[in-house]
Amino acid sequence: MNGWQVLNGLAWGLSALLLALMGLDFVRVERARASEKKE
Amino acid sequence: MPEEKNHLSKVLGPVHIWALGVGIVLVGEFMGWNFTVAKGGTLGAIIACWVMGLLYTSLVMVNTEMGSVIPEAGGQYAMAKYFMGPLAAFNVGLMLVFEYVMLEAADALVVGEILKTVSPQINSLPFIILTLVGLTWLNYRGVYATLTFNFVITAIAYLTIFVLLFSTKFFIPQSSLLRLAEFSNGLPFGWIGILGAFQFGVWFFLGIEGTALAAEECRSTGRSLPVGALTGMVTLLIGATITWFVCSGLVHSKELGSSVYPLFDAAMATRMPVVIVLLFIGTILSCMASANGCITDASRAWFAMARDTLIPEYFAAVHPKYRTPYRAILFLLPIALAFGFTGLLDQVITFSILSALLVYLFTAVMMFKFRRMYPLGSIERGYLSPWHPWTSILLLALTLATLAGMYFGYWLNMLAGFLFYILASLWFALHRYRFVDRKKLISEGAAKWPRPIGY
Repeated sequence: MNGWQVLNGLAWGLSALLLALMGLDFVRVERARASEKKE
Repeated sequence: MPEEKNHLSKVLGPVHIWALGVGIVLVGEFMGWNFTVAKGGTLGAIIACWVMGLLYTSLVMVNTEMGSVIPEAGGQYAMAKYFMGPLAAFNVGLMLVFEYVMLEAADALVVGEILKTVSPQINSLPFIILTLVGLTWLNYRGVYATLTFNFVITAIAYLTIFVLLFSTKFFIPQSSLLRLAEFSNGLPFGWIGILGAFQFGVWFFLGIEGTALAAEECRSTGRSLPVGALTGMVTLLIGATITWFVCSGLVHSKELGSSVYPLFDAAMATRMPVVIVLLFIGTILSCMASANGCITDASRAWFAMARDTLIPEYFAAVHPKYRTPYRAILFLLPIALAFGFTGLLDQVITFSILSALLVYLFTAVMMFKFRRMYPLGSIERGYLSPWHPWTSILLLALTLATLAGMYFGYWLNMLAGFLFYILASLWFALHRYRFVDRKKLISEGAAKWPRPIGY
């Protein structure tokens, strides 16, 4: 595996990480909003 | 949902507004503008640049006067809902969303393509996705950090143009690298060539009007918007003229008219490694700044339309911690990705420009209505646009001339664009309109302003 392939992999990994971070936060906020509505 | 929960945070100053406007536009100086040389020649390009400068100076002045009175997200959309009604507001909002989402997709595609030129082993796909996801994440986390970041990368990209300028030693005639007289081809197609060049001349400034979309998030809209937008316009006029001067003096008009990255090609012509690397970095940063600003603006337009019930209210939610329109931001991410992967970069950009030009037509008409409904002295203005109505007339005339120039090369795209907005209008009038809460739509303005003249 050469340096360019590592760079490609890093870009994929970072994209996945940021998507996961946003996704998790989105789910947390939506849950809090839903429970707030129920109350 | 309580009203105050639906408002964005007021954290932005003039610097952020400058970064938003100049950030979106600056990519047009690194690429795209040079097609004016192919259409109108070297002289035609600079005439188109300055004539478009007049169009955008008028637009910024008109926009800033109305925007300083309406501290609401959505900019021209918010103006349209007060001065033209729900159907026009829906169209303007949709045009803003498409203008910015499509531009964002094109910017990300270019980042991928530029990186690919470094080595064929670089796969552009993960970098296109990383650009869009990374900047969306930044926008999701808060507008202050987003536009502070935009200020830094826009300023660096802008400074690289000056590095290129001074590297040519233009100030010492004996050792200057510029060969403007030799490389210029004047006005090969006469005045009609200038008309044809207008559609690409907009690249020097297209997007500066996006400053108004962040009006709600300014600490003081009446100060931040005029200072940020007008200094942004001056920045761009200087940058555009230098870009034309350096590129026309370093690259032959034959090559300049078809170059993909004109400023980078000009840097290559200097044969100075440091300058070449800096312009490479500047090109990437300008694309990122543009995509970043586009995400901010598109999400604000979508959010504002949802808050006013023109589209489902679901998208009007504000993040409890970051105070950003997080649902709108996330919703537009896959749409930008989808546009990016159509592979039709040319078509995507044309639709974006057409949408922008249509918004300018609406803006000119809105300014006439605004001054008639609220004459000077009837409400407090943060900025007063001089020379009214000439600025609006100039805006209207030059936008129509640009659309006429565009018609010769892209009539089919224009027809498809018009058809799309007509179909969207029909959907709105026949289906969506019954869900619109008309009182809520103008409640914020109605609570602040006196009853307009004639109503």
